[in-house]
Amino acid sequence: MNAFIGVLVLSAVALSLAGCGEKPQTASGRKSDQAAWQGTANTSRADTGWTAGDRESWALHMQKRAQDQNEYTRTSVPARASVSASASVSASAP
Amino acid sequence: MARMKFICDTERCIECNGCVTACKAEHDVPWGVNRRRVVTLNDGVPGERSISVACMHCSDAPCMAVCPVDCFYRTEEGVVLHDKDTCIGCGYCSYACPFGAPQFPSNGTFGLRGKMDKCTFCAGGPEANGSAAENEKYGRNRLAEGKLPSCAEMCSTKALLGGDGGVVADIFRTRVLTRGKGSEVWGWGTAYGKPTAAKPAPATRS
Repeated sequence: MNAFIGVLVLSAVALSLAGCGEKPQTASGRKSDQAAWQGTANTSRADTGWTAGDRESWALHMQKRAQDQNEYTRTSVPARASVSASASVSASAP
Repeated sequence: MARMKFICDTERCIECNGCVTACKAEHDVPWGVNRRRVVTLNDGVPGERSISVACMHCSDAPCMAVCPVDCFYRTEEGVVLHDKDTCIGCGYCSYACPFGAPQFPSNGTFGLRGKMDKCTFCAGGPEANGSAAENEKYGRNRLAEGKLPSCAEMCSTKALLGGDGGVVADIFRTRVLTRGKGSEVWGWGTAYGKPTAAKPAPATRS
């Protein structure tokens, strides 16, 4: 009887420890990203005026789009005439 | 190649939170995570200033430096992104970032302090551009769609400028010279400037 209980306890311990078993883990590391100029799979949302896969075309398009944030180019209000690139402003181009 | 930057013009920000809303809506950002937020200094006092704050995509990003699993990377456009499949949610980046950009969801799939989430400059993540997996983990990839970040494009007063660093700096420069004031660009020197501190003196043994 004692032997039977012993076997039962050992089996229970073995089964309960099986839950703590180490699962195989594979460290894949950081994935590499696809460049933005290569375009998107969701083409229905893509802006027109540039060619997916053409880096220069994308860069020019983005510069043009960034210029759309400049109200002096979007409206007829002129910027101050004395604006010069050499003016001392803390926002210098990187 | 473009170097993507944000500039927030504190003379123009009216604390409308349009940028925050645009970001939330565009990427379906979960409750409790704020990739972008508006901070007001001296609130209620005449001369108060509001600033829209998010990841500044630093040239020398401290979050990248401290990440123990190296989940951060910088794209060729200068956007600092991270791989959520590698992130272990330790929070080191949150302590290192001077802008409070890294956010941690307090509920949801990963439970308390899950995978870090932050502004992606609307550039998605390491999944395929525009894929469902990328959209689910990081939100929309507007850069791959040929668009600029939603927050900047939705800004009603154009206080928040985003895009190629040279272009947005030129826009800001023209603006400052035209109005004749407000030349301070919040965060610019911290995120994009060069270290100016003098070298520490070499330690001497007594």
